[in-house]
Amino acid sequence: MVKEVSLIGELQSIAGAGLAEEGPACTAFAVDGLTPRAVVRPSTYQGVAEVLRYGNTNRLTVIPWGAGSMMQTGNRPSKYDIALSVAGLTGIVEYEPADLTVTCRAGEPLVALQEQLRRSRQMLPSGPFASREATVGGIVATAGASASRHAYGTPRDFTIGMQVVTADGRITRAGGKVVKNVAGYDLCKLYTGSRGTLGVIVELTFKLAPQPRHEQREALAFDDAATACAFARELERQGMSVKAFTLLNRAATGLPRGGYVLAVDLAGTQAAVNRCWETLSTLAGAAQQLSEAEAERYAGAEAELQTAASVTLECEITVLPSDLPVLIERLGETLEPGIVAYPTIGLARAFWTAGDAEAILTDLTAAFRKIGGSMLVRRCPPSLKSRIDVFGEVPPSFPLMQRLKREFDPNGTLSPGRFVGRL
Amino acid sequence: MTAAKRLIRELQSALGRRWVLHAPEDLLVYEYDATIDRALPQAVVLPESAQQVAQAVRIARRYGLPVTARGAGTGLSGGALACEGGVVIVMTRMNRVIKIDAENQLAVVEPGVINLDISKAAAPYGLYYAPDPSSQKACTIGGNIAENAGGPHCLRYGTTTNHVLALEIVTADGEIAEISATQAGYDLTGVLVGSEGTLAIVTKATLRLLHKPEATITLLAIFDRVSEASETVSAIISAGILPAALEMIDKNTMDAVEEFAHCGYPPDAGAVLLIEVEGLSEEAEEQANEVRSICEKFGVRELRTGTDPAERERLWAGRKSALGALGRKAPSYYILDGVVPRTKLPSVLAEVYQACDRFGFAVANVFHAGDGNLHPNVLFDERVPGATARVLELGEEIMRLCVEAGGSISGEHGVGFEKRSYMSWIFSEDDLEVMARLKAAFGAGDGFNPGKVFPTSKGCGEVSSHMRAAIAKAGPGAYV
Repeated sequence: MVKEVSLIGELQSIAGAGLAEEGPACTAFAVDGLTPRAVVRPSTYQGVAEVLRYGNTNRLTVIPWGAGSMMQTGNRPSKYDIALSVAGLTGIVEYEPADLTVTCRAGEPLVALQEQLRRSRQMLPSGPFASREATVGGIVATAGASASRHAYGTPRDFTIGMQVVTADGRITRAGGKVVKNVAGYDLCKLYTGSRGTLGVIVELTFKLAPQPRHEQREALAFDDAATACAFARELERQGMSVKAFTLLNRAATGLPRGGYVLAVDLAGTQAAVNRCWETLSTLAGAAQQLSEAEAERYAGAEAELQTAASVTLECEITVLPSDLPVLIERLGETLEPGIVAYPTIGLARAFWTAGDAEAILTDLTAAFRKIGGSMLVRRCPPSLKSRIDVFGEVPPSFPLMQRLKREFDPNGTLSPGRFVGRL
Repeated sequence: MTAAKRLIRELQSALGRRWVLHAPEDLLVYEYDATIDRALPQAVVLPESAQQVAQAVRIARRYGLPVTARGAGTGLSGGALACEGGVVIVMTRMNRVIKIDAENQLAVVEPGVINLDISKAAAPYGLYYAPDPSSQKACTIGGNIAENAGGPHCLRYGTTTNHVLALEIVTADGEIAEISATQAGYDLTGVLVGSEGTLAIVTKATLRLLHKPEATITLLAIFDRVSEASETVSAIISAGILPAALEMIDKNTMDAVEEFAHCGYPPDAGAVLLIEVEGLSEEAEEQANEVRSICEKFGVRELRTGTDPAERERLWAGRKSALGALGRKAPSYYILDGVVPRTKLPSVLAEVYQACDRFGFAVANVFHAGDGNLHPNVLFDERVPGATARVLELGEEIMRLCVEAGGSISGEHGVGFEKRSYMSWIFSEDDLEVMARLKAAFGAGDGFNPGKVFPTSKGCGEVSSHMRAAIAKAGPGAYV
């Protein structure tokens, strides 16, 4: 009991009285059923560093939080003492539009950042994501990828600099603020997608993209996934200005007719978009093309599935694009989940609302071995989570990853047990 | 038998006699790169497989010798020099394009493949490999990966790191490991790219290929003043146009090029911009028109346009032959590589000229303006006593200008041993300590390419007083 008091007292003295709490406030920061003993929301990088130093010295474990919209993904933490929220670290630090880069604090919500950038007709080429609260720090820490990955890549491609607080509480820099930079190891790549297991990201510098001059969403119906995927690849081959291809199955669209919908987000100059539309129309035939209203309706389908409380199992599978049709077909045989796929990337997300999650996973894993690739269980029942590694089989280079974790976080302070192989 | 002889014997039995070099006259060929520095290895091996690389690493390790991997030796920061002797592993025999997977837009290649050969192999499928360092006809993909090589078209398409999807590597303990950017866990591939051969040796790479654009338009814009050209660069980026390439050549470079390649540059012009836009023909046209009107706004005196490959090639000729042509201006030059935020380009460039004036050296700038990646080439005569030291001092000052403007000490040539001591200008002790942790995790210690990237007190090979890596012998075969 005495220790409890001293923990919260210590955190309050670090962050300020109102910025550290215990008791009921901690419930909102539970991870996989584990509730932390305290939650702290430092308002400075220094505060983050002191919390980590304190935790690391006293063998208390810390899980960093942004908006929490991606916290359901990960293995069950092996121990969880302090929720360290960076949600208070918001705002742009430096933005000169003509540099086409921006530096902002990690707790800045992507939506808010985009609003600022839009005024200069620029954007962070990421998202949209299901959660409007999603922070840039969280997106980078989870390497969050959206359909626009087709044109712009993932956070690893546009994150050029970071400030990261290490497990032992040092505020460090990686990368820089210029778009080309080969000075030293590219630690930004290491932290991107490391899910709060190596350090706490407090500041980010991004390479930006100009806003497309014109955007237009088209949607087409297909009987089978293979034809839809081939269609997307043909547009890609012809160099069409496409920002994103999103393939949805019947369960994801609620579509009465046809099997699949391919949403095509055209982006570019007006003339280029017109030309793409003509090409698309010629290739597809009128019968397949859905109305503008229908096309818009599917825009939110992925976000709806990602936030639907009825979903009991959600998997993200990455294969070679050429293997995607086979994968989608195989997924459909497992109680027809809602499927959202990015044909040119080879990524599929499947959402189940019914059925025995464990049986589905066993079945999938077997099928999946034949196809090859990687599978991440993004959401599953807690009972199942304690028995599986949500990141799938450990990769061949896992021993190297273990050594990295030991070097960066020897005490196991940061998000212990959450990452691949329960790192 | 001495240890040195036993080493050679063991390497020979692993790789075959023919592929182990140890006679002094054979080793000489591998003691240099594109810089003027030299470091003689104890042995050079030319493996033909990852297994042989792994064997060579294990043997060297047993003898406590460092290993330095080497591609074509075109590097500009001393990355391929065996600073502390040991064994140099030359990857040029591992030069197969293993697979072009057109459907998935992938190439699987061995590290000794020449950059341009990847695009040649992909061409029948309408695909190409985007990163195009100026040395792309000679440099190997392994070296590109080690240095995270850039090139003119990185402005739009990103550098090597954005195009490497998976790697096969040999680790310091001589194990072969597969790493991939898409597999679960930490992004080891991303970390390996640009690690300058200090963490592992790449023995196979999976690369992303892109479809060739439908239309490419090259514009050559001639300005009276450098300031007008550099303001045009900022204005293009501000207008929401991201050209495929946006290069600048200054007056000194033009003078040299004109004598050599006869590009028709007016003798009194101050700077030339090469601007390439691409995409669907409609889009390329529209962007080219916008670029033209921006150039006009900033007082362009002449605009040339190239749309077919031959015309475009002619417009690029001056840029491509720039460094070779500088040989006519001076016997030696110091190639610098620094980066600044794009908006700082006009002011930093002005400061670079002032600094060179103050030191009394001519400078020729030919560089990736769209990225803010400067390449001042300081012209001098190495035979003049004290000139080298002065040039190095000037180089350091120019690097400081870049750092003070919020930039970096290298955009694409690497830290190597040349810029180790500058690392502390942009990184704190803690930052460097974290990098050291990464190195420790790979377990390479000083086993792979020692003396590079991190500040140390040791010199490299013959160079002990001062780093002077990128002082190159002027002439053809030099790239920037």
